[in-house]
Amino acid sequence: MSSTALLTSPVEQMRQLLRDRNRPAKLNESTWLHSPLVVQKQGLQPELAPVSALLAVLDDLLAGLHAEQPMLTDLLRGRFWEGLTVDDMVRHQRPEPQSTRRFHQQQEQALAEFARLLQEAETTCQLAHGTDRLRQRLPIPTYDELFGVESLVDPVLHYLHAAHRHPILSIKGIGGIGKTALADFVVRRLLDAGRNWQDLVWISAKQEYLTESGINRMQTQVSIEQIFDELGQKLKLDEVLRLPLTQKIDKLATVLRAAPHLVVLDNLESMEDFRQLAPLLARLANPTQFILTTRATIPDLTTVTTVDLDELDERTAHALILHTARKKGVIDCDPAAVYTLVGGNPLAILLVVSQMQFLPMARVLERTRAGATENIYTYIYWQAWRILDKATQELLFVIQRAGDQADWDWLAMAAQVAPSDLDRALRQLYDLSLIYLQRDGNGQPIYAIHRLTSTFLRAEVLGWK
Amino acid sequence: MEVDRQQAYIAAYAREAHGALQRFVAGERDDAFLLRALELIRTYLHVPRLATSPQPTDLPIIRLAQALQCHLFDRGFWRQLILLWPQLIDVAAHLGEPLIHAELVKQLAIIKANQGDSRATDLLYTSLLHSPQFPQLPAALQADVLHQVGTTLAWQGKLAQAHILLDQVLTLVEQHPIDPDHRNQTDRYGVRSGLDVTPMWESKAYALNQLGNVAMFQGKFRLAECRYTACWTILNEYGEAENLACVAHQALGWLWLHWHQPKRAIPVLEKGIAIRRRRQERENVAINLVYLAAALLQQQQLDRAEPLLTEALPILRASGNRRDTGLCHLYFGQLALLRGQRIAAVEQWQQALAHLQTVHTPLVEQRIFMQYSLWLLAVGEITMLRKVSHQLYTSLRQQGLQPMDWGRLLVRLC
Repeated sequence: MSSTALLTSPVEQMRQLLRDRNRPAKLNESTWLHSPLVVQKQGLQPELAPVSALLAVLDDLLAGLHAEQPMLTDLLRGRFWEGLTVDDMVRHQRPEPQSTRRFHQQQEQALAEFARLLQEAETTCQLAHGTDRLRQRLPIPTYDELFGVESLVDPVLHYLHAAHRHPILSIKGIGGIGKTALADFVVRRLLDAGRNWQDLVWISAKQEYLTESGINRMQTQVSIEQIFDELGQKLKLDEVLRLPLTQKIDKLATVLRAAPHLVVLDNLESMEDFRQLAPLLARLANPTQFILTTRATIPDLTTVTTVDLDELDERTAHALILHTARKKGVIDCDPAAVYTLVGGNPLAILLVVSQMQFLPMARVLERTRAGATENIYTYIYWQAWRILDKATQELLFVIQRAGDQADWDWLAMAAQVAPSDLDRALRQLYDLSLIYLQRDGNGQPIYAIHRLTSTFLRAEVLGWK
Repeated sequence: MEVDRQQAYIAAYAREAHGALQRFVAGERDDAFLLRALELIRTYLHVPRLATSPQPTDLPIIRLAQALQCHLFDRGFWRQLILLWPQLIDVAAHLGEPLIHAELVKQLAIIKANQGDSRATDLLYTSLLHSPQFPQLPAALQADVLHQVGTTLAWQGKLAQAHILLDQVLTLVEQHPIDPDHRNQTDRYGVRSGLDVTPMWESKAYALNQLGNVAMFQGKFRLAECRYTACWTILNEYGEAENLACVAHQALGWLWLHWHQPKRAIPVLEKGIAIRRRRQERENVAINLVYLAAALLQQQQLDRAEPLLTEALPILRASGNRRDTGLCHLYFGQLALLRGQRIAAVEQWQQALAHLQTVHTPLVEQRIFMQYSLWLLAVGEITMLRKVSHQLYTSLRQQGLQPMDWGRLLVRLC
């Protein structure tokens, strides 16, 4: 529950907490204020200030202890609620006639019981509410099975268990390599294991937030401010929005440095972004941790731990190719031929195998082979683009104009095609893996396009390089 | 080829903005829809401009923005408004659409004022009032803008300046007695013509309401009562007894609360809350709940007051309304004290101060601090007393109150 848990025993922590019970000024600085029980209490009774919520939690626990151990409860109530001294308690024979020495022993037992009860309540609260609540903060996974990340999962989990040594973790790799999927996977793994944070924030940087190379410093500054605005908003610190950058950081630090949070900044694009961002993140980190997914090489900073995500090796790539082919209903897929052509990039594999639903494998491979290897995506996307009819191409633009994702109603309004044609077009885009599904707050499907798809549309099809 | 595609891509923005506008006019209010519409505007503003001159697609986009803005404001999409509206204001200015430009500036200024960013608010309103186009705007829009600026100034404590502008509203209304009904006219986009301009009579009612506030801030409670009553009369005359009159109910309830007349305050506040609940004005409901709870506390009805404050607090917190969040804590503190919970009371007041210190808060709103200052001294809460005194003094200075004013307030409130 608190950072002091590492330094002192639960009984000692409990003794200190109960001693501070009648000293609000001390309690105001207590790390116990960040207990999930206190947070839960404030959720149920928003009028309670943190200290009052903590006191209410202790009252509840004492009532709970009374059912199991009425004598120990009376001892704690007398000592820490009523503020009686040991001598007073013994003199008044509370909770029973006994010597001072025996009273001290009984008090230790009561504190241990109370600490155990608190621990149990915290665990129950975390499991019942915490991890479910945090899981809802994550995007819907775009993968059903992860390939080739086994060797990276353990180190990343290790880093995430040591916030003080690895406050900023960067997952670096080329586009489509599965950085987002890896971040999502390890966070889910931790949540499944009962790991809890005060809160979890997932920010997917919009393309306009963090533009490609060539931006000037002022634009980057604006972009970075937008990231912190979104962070503030997601932490329910609305006032962050109106503060200048340095004060934004100060405000965010009051929350992020007080209790462990996990913040994922997905799709961080350029080196310039990171150069400006890193020192600011360092001021917010610890006990909070940041996970960044980025295509760029991160400068060698002591605060940043980098995990490189490379292409899949041949064996793993084969497994992914076969898995995708099975899922897409592609019968005549030769994994070796696909691997020879596109290498071990998961998104490229997904796109190429998806096209084999519409074209013979030889034709797909032949067209893709025509492209230079360094621009493999461009050729793969052009090939997919040419498979689409005009209305379906336009539908991709509609989604892009709506911010790279849209629901069915919006598409029906904007695409101006019959519902059956819209269904067909969406089906085709999904089969070609040019869109993926998310859900909105009401559980309704959202049709989204990958960053690389959006970049292709802008840079290649529209020519806005 | 690429240029053709680019032009078609940009042209589609007009069609989609028009489609979104039609859906909005037809009653679509879902948050998912509003978010998509905002994204459409955002991506449009990031499209590389084909030329520096205005584009044919600019108008549908800013019309969509203008149509949505009040609703976006009410639904709390402030962040998006703050990020996008400055750019839209530039587009509207280049487009030669002074009406839409004024509406967009006004909306942005309202948000900035609500966030307590008085510098940005002043800049926006100053640019609008001093623009050469302002005198050419329809009188109704001028009156609306003047009333908005007057309101902002009044709540910033610039009472004399506010008074001048609010008087100008009343003069404008007198000069333009015929008020064309803008509300039922729509243009080809389905947007109300003359835009969403507040009618003259409504601006007059609101100006009287704000003039009442100015009087309240100066401790002139009788004058405030006259103005609030005049506001109430106008709103009733125009058939708004069950609708906009909630503004007057709030004002009168607020006045009688601070005038120690809870018996009069409670029914009007309850009436105002009922109307606002019907209008789904969550934040305004919360503000009125705080005042109603305060009136009930005056009557020692602690158990009735508590759930009202409990309902109000999360709403006010969520909306980032620091002044009213602070007031909520202020009355929670009074509630705790009336229950004999001294520590809890002081804790609540510390929280109240933390919020109120960051915004302009009229002295009259801090009646509880004035009333309990002596108690703080008596029980030895000297640190707290020092903070409270500093807060009251700061408010007094911010409002530029004359000795006569604060003397009057002291007599009225304590």
